[in-house]
Amino acid sequence: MNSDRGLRAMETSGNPQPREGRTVREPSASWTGVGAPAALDAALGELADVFAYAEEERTPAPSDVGYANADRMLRAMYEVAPRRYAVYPGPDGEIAIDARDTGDGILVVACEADGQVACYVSGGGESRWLRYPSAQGLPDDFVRRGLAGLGADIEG
Amino acid sequence: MTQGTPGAPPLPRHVDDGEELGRAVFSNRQRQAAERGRAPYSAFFERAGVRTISVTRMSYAPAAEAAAIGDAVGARREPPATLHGWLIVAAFRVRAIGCDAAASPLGENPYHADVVLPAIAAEDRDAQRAFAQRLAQASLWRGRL
Repeated sequence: MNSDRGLRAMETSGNPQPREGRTVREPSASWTGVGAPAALDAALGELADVFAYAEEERTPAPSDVGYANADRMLRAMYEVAPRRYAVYPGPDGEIAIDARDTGDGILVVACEADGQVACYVSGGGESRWLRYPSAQGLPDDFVRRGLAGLGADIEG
Repeated sequence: MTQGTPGAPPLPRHVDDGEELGRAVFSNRQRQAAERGRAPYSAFFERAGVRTISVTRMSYAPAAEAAAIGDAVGARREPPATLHGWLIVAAFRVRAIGCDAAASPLGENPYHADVVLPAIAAEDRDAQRAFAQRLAQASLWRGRL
């Protein structure tokens, strides 16, 4: 079986070590961001709207801790990589911070209702993810490298 | 082979790499995001443990028929929902990210197919979510006519 096909989850030992999953190949390193403060304002506006969005979608409401984590992560990620982030609630009550490029690159940080945070990086034929017990210490190298590996921001 | 529109050539059982597969969108929020090229992964994120994602074989389904099938599905939802359009993913892209595409015709929808996630997605919600994200990223929006 091609190692690109399918995802493998691995658990590192000991708490609070993040739980890791991955496929193969490192993403390519190139990035051009929109760089406009308006992009952060737009993302914060979407964050403020997640409760109404979740109600409309009939999905579980995000929690206060998930919201606080998303707010902090969004600002920190913008500082690392000032680009457009889409923010929306997911079907498990998580708040997703979603950055993608014009190719197949996508990075999603999911701030979950129980305070855990999961970061997914996909591109170049692979996916990797890390699950953290809390937002403490984030964004870490994994998130930073994932952001740096995204290509040009998409319009919209 | 299965039969689609009467008089039309039968649908092949095998989903060809070049086929367009459409994930019906009933959510206005998802539609708005998809129109901006940012379809949320929730559009492809099924319940935990579910490995199949329903799609329509858009390369074979006439547009009006695909819309009528979607309308019927939407009408059965609680509450009833409006079909806004589809997120289109080419079958070769589905396979390139490690999933499969398989015809699964239904009585009321001969164009029905499934995107089939690898077995790990049934056991690992993170893997399932990662595949949903990649499918969302690979998709293009097509509004209903």
